[in-house]
Amino acid sequence: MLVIDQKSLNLRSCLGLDKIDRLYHATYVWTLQGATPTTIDATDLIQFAGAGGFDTAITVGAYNDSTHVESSVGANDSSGNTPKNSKFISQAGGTGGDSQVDIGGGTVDLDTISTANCPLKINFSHGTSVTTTSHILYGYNGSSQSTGPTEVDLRMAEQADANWTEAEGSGAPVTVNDDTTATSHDYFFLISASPTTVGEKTAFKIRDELTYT
Amino acid sequence: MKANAKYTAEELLNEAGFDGDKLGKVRVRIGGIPVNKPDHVINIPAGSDKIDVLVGQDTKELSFDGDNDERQVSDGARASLDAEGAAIEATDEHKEAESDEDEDEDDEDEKAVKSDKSK
Repeated sequence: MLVIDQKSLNLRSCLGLDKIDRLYHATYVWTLQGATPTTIDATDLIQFAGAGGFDTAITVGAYNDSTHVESSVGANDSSGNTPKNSKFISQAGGTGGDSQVDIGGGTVDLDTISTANCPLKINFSHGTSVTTTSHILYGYNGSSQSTGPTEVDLRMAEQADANWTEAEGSGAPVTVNDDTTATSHDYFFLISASPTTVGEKTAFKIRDELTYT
Repeated sequence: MKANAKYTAEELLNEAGFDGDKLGKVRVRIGGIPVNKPDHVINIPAGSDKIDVLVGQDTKELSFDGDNDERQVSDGARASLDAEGAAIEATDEHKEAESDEDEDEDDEDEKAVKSDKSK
């Protein structure tokens, strides 16, 4: 059984959210982790912003210094929750060619980040125990899954990955490790985005696909 | 062996009492996941007490001694993930090289056109 869920993202610039209806007894819950987790509801947005926090811009060519959940009416839903952020630093500048990331305490190897420090948590649950396989995560422009987000450089990784993936379009996804049978499956991701030009970026969604049996 | 951790198929098979050399030769299922490579990384979700490991006609139960507080990565899984990362880098470098070649070809085409036009 294939299930799909997706969210729209925005570079502050902005972020839009879209959810596909749940199938059968399967449920997806997306969370922006932090000192207190913020559930990303159906109409919420994931906002990537600058060092100044919510609603501050990211310089062209630079990567996000903060991540937030924005409501459909523009409110900061993650305010007070100290949300996690992962900022792309390098693709292969770390130990033995590992990628590097900054989660707020300076540059470290990507594969040293714990699940608790990953900004995005996706939980997939089902009424009965199921395995999950063929699980992928990628960004796209919101209309064509094979096309990456418009005017955005996107890097994503599953927790414990050694290197970032330029997960732009369905042909270049993050490949998520298979899970053995369980009723609840937690997945943890690092995500970082950079605008390639000036202006608001709205053609930007993240899509999660997996097969459960 | 604890749950809330990533292991390779070979590590899980060995822990269950099977030899990894059966992979690719007979049907192998680890916790319901079909496997045919020893370095296939598998996550054991938190809360898992035990899983069935099937090799050919034989099935054994693999039990876990509780959960890791923080998701762990076994040595074998770490090596496999590092290799995947190296493959990503190789792909990126190949794409960059192709892009550079395309740009060079474009330059040559442009020169040829200019040269023709000047005749």
